[in-house]
Parts: sequence; C-alpha cells; structure tokens
Amino acid sequence: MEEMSWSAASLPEELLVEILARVPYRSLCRFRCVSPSWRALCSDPGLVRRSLQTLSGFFCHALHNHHDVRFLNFPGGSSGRRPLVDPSFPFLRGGGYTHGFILVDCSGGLLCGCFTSPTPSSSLDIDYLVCNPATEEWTVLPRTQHMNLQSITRLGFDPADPSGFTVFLFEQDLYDGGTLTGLKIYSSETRTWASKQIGWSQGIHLDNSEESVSVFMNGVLHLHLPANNTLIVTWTWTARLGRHFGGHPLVMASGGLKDACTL
Amino acid sequence: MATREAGKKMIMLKSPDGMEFEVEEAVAMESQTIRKMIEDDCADTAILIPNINSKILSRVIEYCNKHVPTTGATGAAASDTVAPAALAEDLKIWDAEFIKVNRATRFDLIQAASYLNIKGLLDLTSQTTIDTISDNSLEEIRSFLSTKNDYLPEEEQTIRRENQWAFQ
Repeated sequence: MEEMSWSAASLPEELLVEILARVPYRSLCRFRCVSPSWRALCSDPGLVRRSLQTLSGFFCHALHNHHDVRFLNFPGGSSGRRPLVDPSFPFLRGGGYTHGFILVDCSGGLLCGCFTSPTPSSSLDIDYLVCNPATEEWTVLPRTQHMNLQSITRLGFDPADPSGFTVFLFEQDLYDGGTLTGLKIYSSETRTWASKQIGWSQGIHLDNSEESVSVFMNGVLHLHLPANNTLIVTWTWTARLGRHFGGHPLVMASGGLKDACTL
Repeated sequence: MATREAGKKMIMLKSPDGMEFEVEEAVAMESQTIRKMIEDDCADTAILIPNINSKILSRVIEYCNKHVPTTGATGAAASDTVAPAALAEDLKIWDAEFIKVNRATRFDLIQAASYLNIKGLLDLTSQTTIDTISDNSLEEIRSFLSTKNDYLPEEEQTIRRENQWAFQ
C-alpha cells in the first residue's frame, strides 16, 4: 500500500523532465494524452530534441499512393516494431498545412510538398518544405520556376553536419525525352536558389521523378539514370568564400550504378 | 574533518538527521557536486548534505563505492587482472540488484542523484522508473502520477486522435 500511495507528482518538474528524456518518443506522445499539463511537459521542444536517438528507421510511401506515408523502424533496435514518429506529421497541420502532403525526398531530413488547397491543380497550390520530423522543425523553400511534382527534386542533408542542407532541382525538357537542361541549387545558408547552367556535353536523359532513385552520401548526390548510369552531383563550398554562394557543382555521369555505389 | 588513513584521503559526509559517514575522497568525488566543493576548498571540515536522509545517503555512498574507478591512486586494482568487459558486466548485475527498491526509495534516490550530480545513478534510477511505466495504459499512468484526467471530453478526443499511432 505504501508503494501505491507514493506519487511521481511529488517529483519536481526538472526531475520529471530528466526521467522523460529517457522515454521513447512514442511514449512521450502517449503521455501527452494523460492531462493538459503533461501535454505541455511532453511537447517541450528541448525534451523532444533529447529523445532523438530513438528515431532509427526510414520513411516510405505506398507504391501508388504518395499520401500514404509510413515510417519503418530498423529491426532489432531498442525501439521495437512500432513507429516512433507520427507519419501524418501533425506539426504540419499546426503550421496551417491541413490539406495533406506528399513525400518528395528523404535524406536525413525530409523534403515534402504540402498542398495549400484541398484540390491542388497547379504548382502554385504546393509549398515545398524541408522538415525534421523528430524535432518537428520545418522551413518553407522559396518558390522557383520548374519546381513542380514532375520535376526531380532532391534533398541533400548530412546528419553528421546538421548545420545546413541543400536542395537540388533538376530542370528537364519534357518535350525532349526529359533531357537535363539545368540544375538549380538551394542552400539553407543563403536561403536562395542559384541556377547552374553548365555546358552539358551531351544530352543526359533522366527518368521521370517517380522512378529516379537517388542517394545523398558524404556530400555527394548520386542519381540513377536510365540504362544503369549514375549522375553524380557534388556540391562543395569554397572554404575561402565561406558563407557566400561560392561553391561550384561538379556534375558528371558515370557508368554502372554498382560502381558508383562503391565509391 | 579530512583525515588520512592508509594513504587515502578521507572525507566526512553528514546527513541532516545527524549521521556521519567517513568515505574516501575518491568515492565522494563520484558526486560532481561534492567534487566541486572539494576543488573549491569548501570541504575542510565535514560536508553537510542537505535534504538527503541517512538511509538514502548510505545507499548513495554504497553506489559510489562500487562505481569509483578502481585504477590510479588506490594502487593494485581489480581492473589489472579482470577484463574491462567482465567488470562492466559485473557492475550491471550489481546495479540491477541495487535498484530493487520500492518506488519511494527510488524517487528519493533520483532526487539525491540529481542534487549530488551523479550521472550514473541518475541514469540508473530514471531508466528503471521509465521501464516500469512506458508500456502502461493511460489509466495506469494517471494512477502512477496521482493525476486526474482533466481534459474536456472533446479536447481528449482531439489529442487522442493526434497521437493515435502511439497507442497501436
């Protein structure tokens, strides 16, 4: 009986936070339903950030339904089989995006297209967001020409260097078999898009956006091309230019996806 | 009342209920709070540990005694002969036994670990608490916290819907 009459409410709040920092994110979400004061306690951004290490898995969407976003935990982790994040991203609804979203790319962070109208009919009805579902932070990308759901848009984010991210937008001539015509790069540091029109030596054909598989690794974007070629985009900052938009993308096509993956 | 005994510097810790514990300085310094006092030369005489009764303080000292690094000033150490992995495993088993206490004692230990700033003990006590409630139902958690469900019905419906995935 003595055991039962003792209450955790007697613990000061900073110690409760200390304990809650060790709770899996899923449990934090359950605890929010306990009472309004616990909702506030368990929604504290500092606390949510501390429970980051429990997020280990990847996002994906159903094959023919981009709206059906799911989170799969890596098996064998301490997290068990249940998802640790709510894949419906309720924090986006809190930001006014109530008409759903689709996953455009996922690379450490996430790139989503959020519908600003219940019946999106043009690219004007879509905002592109880069968000971190674990910290529930997000930022809206400025609109730019050629950015639509048909275009190939990829996020470059390295969790080892979380200070910034890059977004790659491949411009294609859809009337010419999807030939690559240019590359736009958004940098979180400058918060602007920069067009990179480089003299392409020959026509590089891209898959359509749904089929173009890509991976961002060690600061390099690898984009799979038809016929088992890989487009490699590296984006390096010129150290001396520091914060200025002084980097130059190196774009090259290489043969054989297998070879590229072992780089 | 710092004294010397067999080459080891001793520190006197006093609980508010008047008990005194003589411990090796190295053991006391497992607490970052006490370490700072010693380093700041505030510990010439006995150190009074406020808010921690003798029963809890003796458990905390027991924990620090076990966890104090066995190499260094104390000379021939156990870790010279035992593999570190085996030592860690031994500590884990010891910890598991140590934390088999009732909830009131565990909460007292959490508060003591927090005040004395002993990371290992805070980790152990907090984690044990979490393990006991993580998978409980909302009602069980509310009873554990002695908290009432003071959501309005429609509020609760909304918050439950938003967090439905966490209950699946």
